[in-house]
Amino acid sequence: MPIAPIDGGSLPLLSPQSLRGIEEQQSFTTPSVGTPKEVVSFGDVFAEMVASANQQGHASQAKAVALAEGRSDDIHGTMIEIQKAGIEMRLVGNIKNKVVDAFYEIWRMNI
Amino acid sequence: MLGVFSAMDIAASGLSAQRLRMNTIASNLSNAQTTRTEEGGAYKRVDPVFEAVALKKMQALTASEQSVSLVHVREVVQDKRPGRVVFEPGHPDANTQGYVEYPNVNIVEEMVNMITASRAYEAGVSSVESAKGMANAALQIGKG
Repeated sequence: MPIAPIDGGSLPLLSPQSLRGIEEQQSFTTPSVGTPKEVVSFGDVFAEMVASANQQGHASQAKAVALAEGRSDDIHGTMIEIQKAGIEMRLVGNIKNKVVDAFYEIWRMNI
Repeated sequence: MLGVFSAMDIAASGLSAQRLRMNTIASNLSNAQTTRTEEGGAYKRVDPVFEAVALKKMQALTASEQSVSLVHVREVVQDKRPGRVVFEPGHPDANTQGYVEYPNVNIVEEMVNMITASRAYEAGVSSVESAKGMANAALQIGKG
């Protein structure tokens, strides 16, 4: 399977575009007064991620059922889909843990 | 989550391609002695033709990710080489001179292709495992 060479100058982490993206994110988390920006709440983003993980889980389940019922012979596709669902679920879980940790950090704060 | 799983999708397309190649090899080996086909004449061995398809159909990819490609099986073509001709006058498919045309399948060649296909499949599985390992390693960041 030929893989086209990847242009070193346009690596996603190093490209000026992505750096601009980070700057925008930073300025977004600390919005200056008087410049109304489109506010995307963490809850929305997180809900989207959970929905995506859920969808991946359903996709892998559908594939596994199709394989078990003999409607499909895509063994590796099913296994890969299950692995994807696992990784995505673990990512959502990790983020959830981090947020809950942050919440308790604030909860325990002495006032 | 598209970027994270691109490697898995690419490897999956490779696995599917190698599986189809394995099917053609099984067909060639099974029909190595077949002297009758629907089109008439001896069986002709078949070969898959692979084609690289850019990953651009998925959205939200960076420019560098668009330059990698999936593999698709474009078509399965018949090998036009002439078959083996054996003198067997008693064979029902022998011609008037008593010669039978056997398929153009070379067992040794098919065995070599089979080893290549199974090794390529293993390589694809390894790349899926590696991609999974990288994602899992990333999820370990900050633990401990």
